[in-house]
Amino acid sequence: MKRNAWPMGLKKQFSLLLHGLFLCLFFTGISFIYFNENYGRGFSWLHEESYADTLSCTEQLESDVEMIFKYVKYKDLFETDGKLDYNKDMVCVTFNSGKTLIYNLNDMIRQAKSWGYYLTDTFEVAGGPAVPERETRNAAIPLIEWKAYDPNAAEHYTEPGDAYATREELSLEVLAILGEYYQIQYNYMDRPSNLYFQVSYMDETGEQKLYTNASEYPLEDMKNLGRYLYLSGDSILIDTNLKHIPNNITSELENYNLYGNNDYYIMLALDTRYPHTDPYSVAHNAYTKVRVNYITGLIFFAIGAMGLLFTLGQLIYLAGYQSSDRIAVTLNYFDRIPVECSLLMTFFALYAFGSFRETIGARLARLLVNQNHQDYFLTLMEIAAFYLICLGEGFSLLRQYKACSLWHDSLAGHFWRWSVAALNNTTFPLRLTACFLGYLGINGALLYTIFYMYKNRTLLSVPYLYIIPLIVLAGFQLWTFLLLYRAAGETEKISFGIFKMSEGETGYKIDTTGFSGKAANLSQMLNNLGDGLDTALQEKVKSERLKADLITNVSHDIKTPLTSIINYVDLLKREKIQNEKIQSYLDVLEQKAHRLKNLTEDLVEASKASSGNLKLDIANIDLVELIHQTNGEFEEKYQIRHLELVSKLPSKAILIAADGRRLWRVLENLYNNAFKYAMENSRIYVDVIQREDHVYFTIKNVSANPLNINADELTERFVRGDVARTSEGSGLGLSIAKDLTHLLGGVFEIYIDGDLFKAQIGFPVLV
Amino acid sequence: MQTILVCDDDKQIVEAIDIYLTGEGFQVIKAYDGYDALELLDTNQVDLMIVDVMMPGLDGIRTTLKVRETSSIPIIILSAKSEDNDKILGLNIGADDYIAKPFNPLELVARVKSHIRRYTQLGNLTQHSTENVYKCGGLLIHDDNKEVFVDGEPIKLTPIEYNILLLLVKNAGKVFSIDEIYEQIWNEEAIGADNTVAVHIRHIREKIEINPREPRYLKVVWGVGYKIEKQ
Repeated sequence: MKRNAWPMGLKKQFSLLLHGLFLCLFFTGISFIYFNENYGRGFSWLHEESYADTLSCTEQLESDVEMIFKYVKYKDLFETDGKLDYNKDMVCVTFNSGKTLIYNLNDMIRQAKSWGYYLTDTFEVAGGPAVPERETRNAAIPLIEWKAYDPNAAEHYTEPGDAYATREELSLEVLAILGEYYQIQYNYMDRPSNLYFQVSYMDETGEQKLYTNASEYPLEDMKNLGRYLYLSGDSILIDTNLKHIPNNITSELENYNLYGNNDYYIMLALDTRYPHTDPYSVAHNAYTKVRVNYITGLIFFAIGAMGLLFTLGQLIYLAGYQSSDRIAVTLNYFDRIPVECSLLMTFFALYAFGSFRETIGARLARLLVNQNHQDYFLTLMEIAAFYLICLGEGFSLLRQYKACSLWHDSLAGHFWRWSVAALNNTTFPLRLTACFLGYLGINGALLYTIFYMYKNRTLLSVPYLYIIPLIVLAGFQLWTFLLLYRAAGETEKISFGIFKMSEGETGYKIDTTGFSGKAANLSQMLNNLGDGLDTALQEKVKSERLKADLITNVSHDIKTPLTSIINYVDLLKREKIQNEKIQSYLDVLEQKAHRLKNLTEDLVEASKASSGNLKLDIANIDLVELIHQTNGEFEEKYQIRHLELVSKLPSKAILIAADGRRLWRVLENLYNNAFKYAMENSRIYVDVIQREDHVYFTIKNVSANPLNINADELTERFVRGDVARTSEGSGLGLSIAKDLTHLLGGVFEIYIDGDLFKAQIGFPVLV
Repeated sequence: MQTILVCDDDKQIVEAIDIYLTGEGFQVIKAYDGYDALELLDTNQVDLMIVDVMMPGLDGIRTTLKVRETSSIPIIILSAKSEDNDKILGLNIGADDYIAKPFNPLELVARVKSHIRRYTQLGNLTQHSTENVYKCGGLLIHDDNKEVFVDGEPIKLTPIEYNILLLLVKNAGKVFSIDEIYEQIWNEEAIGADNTVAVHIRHIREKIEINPREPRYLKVVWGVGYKIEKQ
């Protein structure tokens, strides 16, 4: 699109200009609408498309109808054969002297003239004599016998004095009536009028009395002039195309029917082409102009409003962006002011403009604008100014909103962050206290509000308004409860995590989703702790395995040369060398080589047993059977050293879950231990006892050498009861036995009591 | 005269084995890695091979696999690795025996002899009488004559030992507890049987096995009983 190619600045300026133009258009439209005579009637008068339909036209018609019937009346009064006749009798009076006089029109006019009265060019009575003369002139007040212009005058008299009038008063009356007659004559007869009328009565003699200014028009032609009204004596229906009927027409028509028959009619016609200049044409022209203005104003108003909305939308869309990619929002100096300050400034600006209205604005308006429109002008200017100020502030807010700095840069935001930071720097108990105090404060305020509103509930417009803070209070409690509930859930999760970690599941992670505040920190730290522990544990397992691997590899490397040593020592011995010394040396070599062999083998086993790097084949085995088997293996061996094996075993099987081969290794080591270190010719006691859900195997012997070390040391590697390390043991037997027992899930204990050595292993019994 | 191929990268060990086996009347061919061994196997009539596992070039395991592609001679693996899985691996890929270093020279010689006997003679021995003859690997029992042979060598057993062995061999693979054996042999109910059976078993093992600590035939199922391995 072509417009997108415009630079952003130009685009915005263009939009702003358009916005201003539309604003002007909008206000112009409003002004057009405001300044019309039909203001206040809303849209309804728009339906009345022509002046003839309006009420003002009807009002005009009503006054004209009144005039027409006055004409009907005055025509007979003043005219003879269609001409003004000055000899027509007007009034008859009787003086105190008893003399009765009849004054004709001429007399009355001349009397009036003599006193200085005259008719103006608008046919109004004017002039008159000086006041002092009036007293003498009117000294004689005659009784009125009759008035030609008011035949039924006597009926109107309510007081006796009403029947008397000075000649001056009478002549003034006549003069005023004559003025009216002239006016009608001038408006409807002498000058062309757009209103045509025909009024017809039939007198007693059957002669038609016609009053018209359109004698040349037949009735049907008059109907075609535009608007018409036809009312006849023999019908109550009005034949008309007028929208509003003049409501005096029927009564006037009937009032002037002096002949008591129904042969009369009135025809009114308004030439809606308005060829002649008269009140109708003037009003019609004004009406048409105002209506056009109104419609134009409406169109301006609509276009202006739509344009305003559109350009406003465009400006909102573009606000803040400097380039057409609409990424970065640029803020000006005003936008950087905290939002509270800018709102306050806007408020003050509005207030200032409000007060300018009376001081500067009013004076300026008086200089420029018509008095009638000053108020309107001022209001318009005020609205425009307010609108522009609010527009500026609104766009500033919009830019800040787009830049996401509305809250961030506001004073409230600063204060909030400051409070949070300040709270975070304090201790947890202090924060808790602050929260509790806040909770108390809010509750107190709400309760006080409720109490206050309840107490003054009769003063409130809605008496139950205190329900609202009550609901707020309940909501606040619920919110607090939810917070506490969540905190409890978090604590629960954390303690479960701690439990898991303390159980040895160091890889356990607390799910911290949804955690906040202290709980989030705590769980994060715990997870880190768990990670650390897990890493350490894995490192330890790894290093144990490495150690075991190292020992295994070293032992492999030792075994190969050892093989040669053992073999060649053996070969040497087979040479049957007769030298006794050499034979004894060879014996030593052979013995030590074998010990080295045992040592390497035990070393591998010990490292594997202690690191747990062994494959276990756990099955259900009978411990009693195992002891029998072991006894069978060792019975003869013990006889070499004259040791007696005394065993006390239960007759029934006792099943345990263990790896038979490994457990045999444990027993073998214990039996070998007894074989090696027991005093010759002593007894070795072996028994199996079941206590509750555990079975215990015990082997006891009396040591040949004093046991001057404690029991725990005996299971350490390379520790032996005898100080001299000449015998065949590697010093690893008990250590291996202990580690293997632990690996199999059993307990291993050694007791020393003097020279009594006692080893015990225990396993849970399978039910 | 049987020919034995000894293959180890440690020359002194090969030399020692050579001395022992030559002393027992075998002819020994020496190889110091797997390729040598395979070459010598092609060019010589070999009755048994002793091979080390850890050797440069072709190691013992792969050498064994190669040999097994063409030959069924007894192979004894000799290795410093004494863990269970090493032994299982060696036996699974086709070796007949596995001896851990450092080895007892007498045991090595005994095993060599045993394998050679089985490989060369056993086929003929078993064929002449099938009735009341029980065989389990190199273990042979002539029930008619109450004679027991291990790898063709006659073994002397006491009557009780003989009966226990016969019971186990007849039910090769089945595990007998001490009480079951006692009841079957002594025909008495075993009430808190003592160590008698275990001692007898030990005696049998000492007589029929080359290394009683690592029995080939009479196995101890610790905590359960005894059985003859079904072969």
